[in-house]
Amino acid sequence: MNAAQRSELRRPDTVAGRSVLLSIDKVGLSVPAAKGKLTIVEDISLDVREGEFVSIIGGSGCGKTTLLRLIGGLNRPTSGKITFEGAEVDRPSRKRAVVFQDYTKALLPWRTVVGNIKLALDSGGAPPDTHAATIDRLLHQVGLSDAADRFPRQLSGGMQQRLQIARCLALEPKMLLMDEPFGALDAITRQNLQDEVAKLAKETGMTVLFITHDIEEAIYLGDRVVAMESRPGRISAVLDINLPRPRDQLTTREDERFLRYRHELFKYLPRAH
Amino acid sequence: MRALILPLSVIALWEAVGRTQLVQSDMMSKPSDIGLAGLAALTDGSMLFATSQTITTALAGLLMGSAIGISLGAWFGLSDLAGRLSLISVEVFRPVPSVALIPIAMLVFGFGYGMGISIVAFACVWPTLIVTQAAVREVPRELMEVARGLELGWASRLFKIVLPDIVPNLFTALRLAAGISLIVAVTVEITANPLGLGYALVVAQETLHPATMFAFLIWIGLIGWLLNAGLLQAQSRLFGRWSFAA
Amino acid sequence: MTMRSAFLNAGGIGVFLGLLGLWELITRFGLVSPVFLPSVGDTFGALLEQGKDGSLVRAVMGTGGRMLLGFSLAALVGCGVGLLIGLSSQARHYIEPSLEFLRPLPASAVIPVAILLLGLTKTMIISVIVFGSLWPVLLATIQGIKSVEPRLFEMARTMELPHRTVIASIVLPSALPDIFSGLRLALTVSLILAVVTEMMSAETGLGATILYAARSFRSPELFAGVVTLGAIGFGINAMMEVAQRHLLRWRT
Repeated sequence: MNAAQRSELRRPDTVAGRSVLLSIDKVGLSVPAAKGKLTIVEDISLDVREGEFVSIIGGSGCGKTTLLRLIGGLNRPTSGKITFEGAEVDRPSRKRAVVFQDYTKALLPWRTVVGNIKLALDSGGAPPDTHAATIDRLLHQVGLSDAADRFPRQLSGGMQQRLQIARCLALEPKMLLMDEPFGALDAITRQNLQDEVAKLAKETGMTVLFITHDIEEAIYLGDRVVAMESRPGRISAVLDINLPRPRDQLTTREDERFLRYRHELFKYLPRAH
Repeated sequence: MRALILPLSVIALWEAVGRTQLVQSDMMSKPSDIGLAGLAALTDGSMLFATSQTITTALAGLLMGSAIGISLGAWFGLSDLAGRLSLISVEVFRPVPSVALIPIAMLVFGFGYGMGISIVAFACVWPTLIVTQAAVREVPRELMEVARGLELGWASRLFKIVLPDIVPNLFTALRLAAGISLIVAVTVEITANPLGLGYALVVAQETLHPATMFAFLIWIGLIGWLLNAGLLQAQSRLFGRWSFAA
Repeated sequence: MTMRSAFLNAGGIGVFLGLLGLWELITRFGLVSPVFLPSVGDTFGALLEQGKDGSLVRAVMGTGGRMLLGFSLAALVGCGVGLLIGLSSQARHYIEPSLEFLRPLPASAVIPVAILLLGLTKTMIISVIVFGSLWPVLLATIQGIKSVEPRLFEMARTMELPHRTVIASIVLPSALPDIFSGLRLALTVSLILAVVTEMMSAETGLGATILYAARSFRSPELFAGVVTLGAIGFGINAMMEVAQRHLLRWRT
């Protein structure tokens, strides 16, 4: 990444009028290994503004999940600093809700859909008599109103993931961290959920960090796309996505700019030799 | 090695308390005395003799019970009809506690090996029956269809296709039953039957020899543990590469 | 229930009754001496007698009461201690190997020790039952806690759930299947130990009843007692099955 690209990332607060919500400053994570230490990610610097939808792509092993976990506070960086709303990130927070990739393992199988969302509400500040209404609203937002009393095992993969998203929204977070949330789903479900997430983000004004290995998904959803390279994980490119919203599965993907972005980002992904 | 810290501390504490003579010596015993008593019992042959009695009882009962249990289990597994019809009867007889049969066995066999073996056999029938039945029912359909395609008679089907497939499960069943056989044998000996390790335990208690009693107790635990560990080892050696999680 | 299902169940009952009929035939034809095997009629006659004069109720209360008391104490202690040990991986490393060593130990083997220390008293009986039933619950609780899905702990961290919520809403429900099978096993052990301790100490109970009946060569009473014990075992099993199906209905 050259100096021009680097300055692209560190925009001053005044631009676009939106404040910086998350600031990642030269963050790296190394772990002890057989031969000295293994650097998983290094020199990651990125500013995310409120309401932004940032997609992060990269091949496997590039540390994108690790980066997400660092932002989420599940791991601590060994170098650099992550700042969220002005304070240093050193532990997980309800304001940075995490949507895990393995949704089945992140849901409580012994509770119904409603019960799972309640878990988030019970530990929050809202008075208990408002819970029912909140749950109704959230279920409606993710399209699970008809499945309120079902157990996770009775839901399809897409529905389980939507449940996880609803539960995260119940936390009233400022930022959603999504780790390849649609990776395990079929193409049609994936497209539907992409549109749902885009709509949710717009409706709630949520800041979203979205990890995926799918270039097109990254471009389709993002305001910006961050490309990461592997071993060690570093940011190799950041692209502004100037495509009109709301995005459409057919027209946006045929847009000339879409194809150009795709072309550009393709360079940064590892090739199969 | 952290594993040893707890037991060693317990033993050390026990020894220390024993030496301060806080507790009466005909009820309690310190580890050093127990060790000595154990050695005495080993060297004079009484411990080994009692062990052989218990093991004979357990083994004979295990073999008898498993033979019946595996045969019935295989039958109920292969024949859906037999399985369904026998269900209620099995569910009625299975929960009878084997110790409840001690007085009956006492009447019929009197004291001796007959009593122990019959009760151990009864106890071993059920786990082997259930595991075998479940295992036979889980033989993949494709295998059974291959058998039918080759037009094998029921005996060939049983021995060439079903048995080899369920062998790992059978081993698990036998492992469980082996544990049960030891426990039941000792229990019968403690309750009523004057032979074996259980009886030795009771005798030591009744003649107020706590050191000997504890020595036998530890020995019983050791045997049980060795048996279980040995069978687990054998299972992973024999079937490890089959990757059957049994 | 389908027709076929109903037929098969009826057939199952038929087979069972057939076995009873076989029993009756064996005694009718004198194939086995009535000293060893009373007829079905005599057995149920004795059962009715014991029911009428109240001895049955007293015996069942004796055995059942001690069994339940011992089991409840064991369940409480086992779950509580199991929870403490299970939640601390440090504790687990020190304690688990010793527990594994104790697992194959026959619970009845502590009876002579208990008799030596406590005499032939009710305290001895309850202590033995508690001691014997403790281990299945303890081991099962620890196992259940060990196998909680790690991702759920991470989820709890991201949701900043308080510690007690994690235990009550995540650890315990997740460990419940394992804990429940431990409880079932413990209940079986409680029954066995209750019966055995009665036989050795002549407290009022089914174990003592049947032993006494055997010694007096009164086989109908003996078999009546065995049938009652079988019924208790059956009843316990059935209840636990129902409870298990209900508690774990989210699995299917």
